[in-house]
Amino acid sequence: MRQSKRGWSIVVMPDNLLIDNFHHGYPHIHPQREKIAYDDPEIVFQIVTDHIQRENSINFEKLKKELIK
Amino acid sequence: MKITFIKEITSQELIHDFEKTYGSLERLEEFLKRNPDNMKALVDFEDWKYHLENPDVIKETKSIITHEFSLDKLELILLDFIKTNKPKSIRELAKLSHKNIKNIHAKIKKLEKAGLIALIDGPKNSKIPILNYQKIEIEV
Repeated sequence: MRQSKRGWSIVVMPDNLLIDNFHHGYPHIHPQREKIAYDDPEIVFQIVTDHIQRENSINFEKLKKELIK
Repeated sequence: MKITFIKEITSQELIHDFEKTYGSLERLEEFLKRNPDNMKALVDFEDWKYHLENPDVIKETKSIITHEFSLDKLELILLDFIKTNKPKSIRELAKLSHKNIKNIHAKIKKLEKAGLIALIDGPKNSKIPILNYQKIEIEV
């Protein structure tokens, strides 16, 4: 996760998952840029890492549901 | 187990890290053309361009999920010494911590390999150990 005045981004490798709040004015998950329910990057980061710990990998559809609600 | 590494760096330091990783902005752009799905490269490319024009302080947080991470007592002591005493060499670190240089050397190499510290060139072929992160969190 990288945070600066520009905004924030969370990248999960090697899954190539990207969640950020750049360009569109709202936090979103790539590749479809769906809006997620959380503005706070620390909360998003916690949700993503908890998901990986629980699932042992990224289950994209499941993670999307957790983030979009 | 989740290990989280946190550091605050300047735009200049971030760009220096990018240069070490990719060589130049142009090379990263070429890499991105060949690997358009690489999200890390994409974010790094956009951040590189932004931070060239907009000096700032950046918070970087990196987490790894692993069952293979361990730090023994001596390694923790060394990290603490590096942070608080800022030794100018591995020899000085051994002297400050009253430990055998051979033991220290092996531990330092392990900490470097784990990415927790970096060894930068000092005077007379010495290596200066520095912390790569300001904060390390371990979550079970």
